[in-house]
Amino acid sequence: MSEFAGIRRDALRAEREARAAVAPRRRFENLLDRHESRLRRVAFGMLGDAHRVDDVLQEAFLKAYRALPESFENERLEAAWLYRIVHRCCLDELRGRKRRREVAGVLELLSSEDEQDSSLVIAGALARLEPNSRAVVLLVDLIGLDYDTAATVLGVPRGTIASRLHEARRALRAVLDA
Amino acid sequence: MPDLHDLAAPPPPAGFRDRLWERVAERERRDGKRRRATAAVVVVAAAAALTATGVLALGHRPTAVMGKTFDKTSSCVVTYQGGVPVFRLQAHARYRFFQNKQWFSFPAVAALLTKEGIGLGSVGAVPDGYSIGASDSCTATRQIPLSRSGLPLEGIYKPGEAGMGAMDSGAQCMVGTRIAVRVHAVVGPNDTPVSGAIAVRTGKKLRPVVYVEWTPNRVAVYMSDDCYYT
Repeated sequence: MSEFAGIRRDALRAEREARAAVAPRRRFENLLDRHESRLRRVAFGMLGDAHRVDDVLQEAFLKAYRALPESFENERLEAAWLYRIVHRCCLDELRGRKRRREVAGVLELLSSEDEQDSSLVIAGALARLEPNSRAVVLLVDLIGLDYDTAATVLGVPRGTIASRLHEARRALRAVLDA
Repeated sequence: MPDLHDLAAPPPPAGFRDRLWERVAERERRDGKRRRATAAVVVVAAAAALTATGVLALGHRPTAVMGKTFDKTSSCVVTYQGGVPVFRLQAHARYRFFQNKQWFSFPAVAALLTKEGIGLGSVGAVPDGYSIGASDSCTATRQIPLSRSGLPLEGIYKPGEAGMGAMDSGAQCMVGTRIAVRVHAVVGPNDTPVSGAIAVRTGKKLRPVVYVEWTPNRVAVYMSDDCYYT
């Protein structure tokens, strides 16, 4: 009798462990399903280099998965958490690029033929903004995050978001009009 | 005129997620190896310490207690978790629960921890239950105010309530790379705190992040939007 009880206990434990291992992966897949396309646009807008977007997102998702909390209080915090990690990874990449004295990818690739491609034109215009301005205009104007969430993502006060956004919109318009 | 919404990211390459899960598995294998190696080193070092001195020091005793009050401020480096500096907050009054025919008890505690479980500051209803910045990454710094400084109330926890961190991992706060931590404890008989408070600030302007008012029977937690309780 006790032997059967032991087998059953072992089976239950194995099932529990298997479920515990799969559950975070499923949760994370679900999280990516909801956010990945928008995160991809933010990363592309930040980096301006289609070739580096995948590597940076891989690194960001790897970090995010390893630090995945058991749950989030609400969807706003969930989004802020994920966007913040991607944003930090993009900044790391930009800093590394600066150290290596590389030219921003999209500026290098942009030719007169590409000017027909409005996506590349926008990416080129964004690449001419400061990373802080780029981030705020992408998060608020492109993705549609509210000021509070954008402030959490960028780790700055709400008022800073408003002033940076004003400045970034003006600069972007000036670049596009030129 | 092109519009910001025209920005189209390149689609993910085939097998993007598969490659991600391969990298996750590879990183976990590497971490497992590193943990085993570290554990072996710790065992060897502990054995050497025991042999050499016959004493194995456990835990962290505060360096100074001013009369019956402990009050110190430290500046600590916060370790990264998922690319962001994060510390954890646990705060609860006495709590116990019954499981598998036995009682499990948690003393009243307010503690700040890194993801590795290294204490950045704590007050708890146990002998010597007050500490600050035990790790090498903390240094003494100028005192910060011991007040809630406009932080919103997150919760008040009384005995018998699980509060933050008794039955879960507590709250997590995303902050700058350094935080200033002030721990204040009024110490009673047996060197056991009878009341205390913990304040945490971060950033160049030292904006308030967390403030905890602690007694064994009542723990009030105030925290900013940088923190979320899971």
